[in-house]
Amino acid sequence: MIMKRPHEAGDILQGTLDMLILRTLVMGPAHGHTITQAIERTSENVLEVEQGSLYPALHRLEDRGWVSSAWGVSENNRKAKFYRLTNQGQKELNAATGRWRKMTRAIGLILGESFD
Amino acid sequence: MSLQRFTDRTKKDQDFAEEIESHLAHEQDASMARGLSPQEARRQAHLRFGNPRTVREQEWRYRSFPWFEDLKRDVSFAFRALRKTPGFAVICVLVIAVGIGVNTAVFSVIDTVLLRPLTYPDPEALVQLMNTSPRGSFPGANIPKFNIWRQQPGIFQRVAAYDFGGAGLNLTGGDHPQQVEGVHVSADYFAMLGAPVIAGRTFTAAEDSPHGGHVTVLSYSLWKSRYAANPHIVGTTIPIDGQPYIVVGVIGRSFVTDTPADLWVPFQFDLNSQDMAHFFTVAARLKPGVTVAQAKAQLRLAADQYRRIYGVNSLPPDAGFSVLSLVQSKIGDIGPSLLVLLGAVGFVL
Repeated sequence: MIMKRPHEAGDILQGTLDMLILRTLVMGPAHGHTITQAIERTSENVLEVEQGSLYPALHRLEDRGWVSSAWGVSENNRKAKFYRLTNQGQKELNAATGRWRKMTRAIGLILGESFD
Repeated sequence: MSLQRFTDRTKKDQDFAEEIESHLAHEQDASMARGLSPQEARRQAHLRFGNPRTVREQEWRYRSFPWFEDLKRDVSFAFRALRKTPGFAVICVLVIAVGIGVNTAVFSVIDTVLLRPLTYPDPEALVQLMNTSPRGSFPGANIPKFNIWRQQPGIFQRVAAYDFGGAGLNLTGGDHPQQVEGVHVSADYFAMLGAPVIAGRTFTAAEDSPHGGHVTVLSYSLWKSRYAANPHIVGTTIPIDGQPYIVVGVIGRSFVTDTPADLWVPFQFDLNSQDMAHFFTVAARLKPGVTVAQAKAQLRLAADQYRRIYGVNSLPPDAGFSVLSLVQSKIGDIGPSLLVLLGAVGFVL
């Protein structure tokens, strides 16, 4: 079965991918494939993670010290690199979530008014 | 920004390759769980992921300073190429070295000749008196010409004669004799060129007349070197060629002449002389507002006057007098050629 690419809202806004990854890691350490699936399932398949951009994003987060990584063994008994949220990453996630809420609320206000 | 981004690139790339492989395996597992054959599952995994090499290259670029890497590559390529052909390398270095040298040399000539030709105040008003003939024009004057030129009404503020020194004069007395460059000038010479007088005065008209006495004006360098900048030098007598000369003045350091002069002595022309020998040069400062064209027109009348007095043999009908801006006469015709030369050596670099 081939996964169909959703028609709307498929591309994740630049910068929000970082937030989504950090949020996913709150549940515990995970490797790249799990993160992809978690984001897609939790968003009810509306958001599709461009797989080529997930890993560069993860590595950027690691360079900034927001996640740490270690090789381990996955649930499929395969070698996989697991990413773990750091304290600094938790702080960044809180800040990013706050920014996001503020912005969506503001946009919602504008759209609500103009639709009335 | 963390520098971690730029460290351990090769190891990180290896790590990433393994990570991609792991991802594809997990994706394949997921598809197989949905009932796809291993081959088809593998194919789908690759389709979804895209080209791993492209992703790794992007990551590699993210971990590098692109312009710096390119520069490093270019420089190392240049060195390799030059090392392979040492003869060519030597020629390149020589061409660049010669190019820099020649450019510096030509520019220093242009700087002195074209950019700073005259150090006198208001140099545009200074002209050199010229003789014209079908063969061209040349400077040079005799006493009758000098006399007629200085009498022309309305065009010249000052007219002065000067020569280019000669065999040198002997300064005796003191510890050691010294040969110096003495330039003959007429009385108005210093005033015409705006020479700064730092002690005493310049020659009076009386001193510049026949039997005006032995007087001299010293240059700054001679005053400094031979007389230790003696502030009481004016009025003293120094022996020149065995004759006592009275020092009447000293000229400041900024006064620079074509022929470097150590001291000046007056010509003391007999203005009634009929001597036709040309042995000096004449320059003049135009009156304010007088143009070179106006001066030339007046000098055509002066030529007729000269011809009437001294006969057609002394000045043929197709010859005459003219003026040439002193700046121009110094640059001459070489101005454009110098610029062409500068352009040419510029291309060497």
